[in-house]
Amino acid sequence: MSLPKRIIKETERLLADPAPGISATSHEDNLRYFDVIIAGPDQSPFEGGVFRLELFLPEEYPMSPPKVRFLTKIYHPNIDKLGRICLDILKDKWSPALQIRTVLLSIQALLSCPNPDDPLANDVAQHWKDNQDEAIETAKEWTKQHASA
Amino acid sequence: MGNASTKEKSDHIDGGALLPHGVYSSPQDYDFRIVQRLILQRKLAPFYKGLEDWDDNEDALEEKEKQLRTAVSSSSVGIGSSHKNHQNHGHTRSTSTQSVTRANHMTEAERDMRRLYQGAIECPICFLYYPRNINRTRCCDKPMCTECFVQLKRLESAPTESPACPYCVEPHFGVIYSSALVPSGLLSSPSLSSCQSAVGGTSMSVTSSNNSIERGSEAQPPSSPSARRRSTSHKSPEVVTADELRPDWNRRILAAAQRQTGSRRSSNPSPMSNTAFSLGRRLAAGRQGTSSRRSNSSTAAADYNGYLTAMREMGTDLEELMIMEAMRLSLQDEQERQAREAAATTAAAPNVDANPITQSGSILQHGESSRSGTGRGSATSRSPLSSPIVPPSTSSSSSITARSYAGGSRPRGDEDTSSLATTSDGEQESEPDSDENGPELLHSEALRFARTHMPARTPVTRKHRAQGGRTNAEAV
Repeated sequence: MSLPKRIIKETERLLADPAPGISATSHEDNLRYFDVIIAGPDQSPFEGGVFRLELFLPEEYPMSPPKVRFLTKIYHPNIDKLGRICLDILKDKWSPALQIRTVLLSIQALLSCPNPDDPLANDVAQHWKDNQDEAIETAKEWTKQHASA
Repeated sequence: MGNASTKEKSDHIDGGALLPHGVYSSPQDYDFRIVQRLILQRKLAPFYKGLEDWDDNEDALEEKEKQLRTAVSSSSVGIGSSHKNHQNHGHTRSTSTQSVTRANHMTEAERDMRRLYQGAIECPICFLYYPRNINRTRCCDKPMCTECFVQLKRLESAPTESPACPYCVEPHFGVIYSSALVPSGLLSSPSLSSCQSAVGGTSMSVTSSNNSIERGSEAQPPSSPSARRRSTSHKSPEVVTADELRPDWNRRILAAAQRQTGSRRSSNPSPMSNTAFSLGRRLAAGRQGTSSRRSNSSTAAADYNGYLTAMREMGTDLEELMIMEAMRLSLQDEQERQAREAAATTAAAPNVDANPITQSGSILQHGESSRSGTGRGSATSRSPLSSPIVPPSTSSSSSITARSYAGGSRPRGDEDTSSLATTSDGEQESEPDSDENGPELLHSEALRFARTHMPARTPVTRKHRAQGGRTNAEAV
């Protein structure tokens, strides 16, 4: 099955005009599979970290959302141990007008604004709610430990 | 089966096709007949060939000729005699294998296509370039090609929510097509344009410096010289909603509910309760009566779904399915409309209990004629969905059931057809203020369309129904 033109164009545009702090490169042998790197946003507990993710475009894309997962360990209330991300646009709020670029920008924004009220990692979220300063310290430690370039 | 007849009809409308070009290769589940009808009525842009790239500048055009050739070669575009003046133009290609006449013809077609694609826009969903007259979203006036539009449907995870606009997330997603931007020479034959004037879609006056973009002489003159419209209601007659392309979306809701509840099908809570719950959350408070009514009918409705699946597996004609769905949808719409009205009424009078009779009573007070009010009220409380699985002999025991049987299934004979016609006409007449007027009109159009295209094949249907009923009975 040939690759939809949209995927080819998105890939080209991601390379030609990358979003700041984000890179996405598709595998040569599977053009639907992307290696993603997101830099931890400034003024967040993840600042200075380099986070690796994998992104896969399912057969139904863009009518179905891409599947994205953190490969780098991260201490974040909306990202669980397996790297799965709790983000509405990756689920029921997906729209085919969104793109790889906008998805990755949203994930970057999620790093800046953790949302412990809609948790995926319950323990982390609880930590965040009970003692935010301490949770942020832990996140910084994890960033240093697991996400240093 | 149905595909053969589709192929025959794949001529061009406004320079585009009635069939998709395969941008989406996955199995398609929209109703292609409805889509074709909407294209012929010029309520939906035809399937234009999406170009990978486009640049209006002349050098780029040369490069794109090959693409254009592909776009037009599948079948010749209906070029009117108005192109005598264009015999001599600059872009004669030296295609060695083609005869001179052939080459001339092709370049003329190419020239037309170039005019069509002048100022082409990129569809934000598939990233391909299309003529700028493609559909616009009703809510935020963004372009969307038909091939992408037909992909949009209710989510399996949220089947009770109408598809939202991918751009602005407005519910009840719909688009508007205006052929006013089609270069005049590419407008299709007058017979088709009469269709357009019957539809009475929005017209726009467009003045383009170098393009001579006008309506064809047979088309009505532009009526509203306004700039691009603002948001248009999804009930507006010129809007084609995503739900319209899948008249069976309610069946999908049931299928999804069935999957969710799995083996708890026969027990309480009913398969519909989840859906009913989220429905209830979205609507105003005090809707419990309607929800429970729905829930009661839903087990039978789920059975009906199984029946339909069985029929499909037996290879029953798509047309039959379509007419059944169209009829059932119109009843379903009616049911929903009543639910909304009931919700509004109960909100106004909070003491109304869950009794459906009381509800139809309050609907009556809501200003409906007693004839249509009682008829439809009782019919829906008996659930039109449950009726078709009942054998004809049983259903004739009640005139109401017989009516909803006819409404939920194919007409069995002349008497049913006539009663159907009465029903749909009555609905249209009795609800001048209905917010579902547009869709219902369409459904009855669909019915008429399907009926005229389906000469007496009644015995076959009856056989299928009998078999379907048996299959279903075994399954239960």
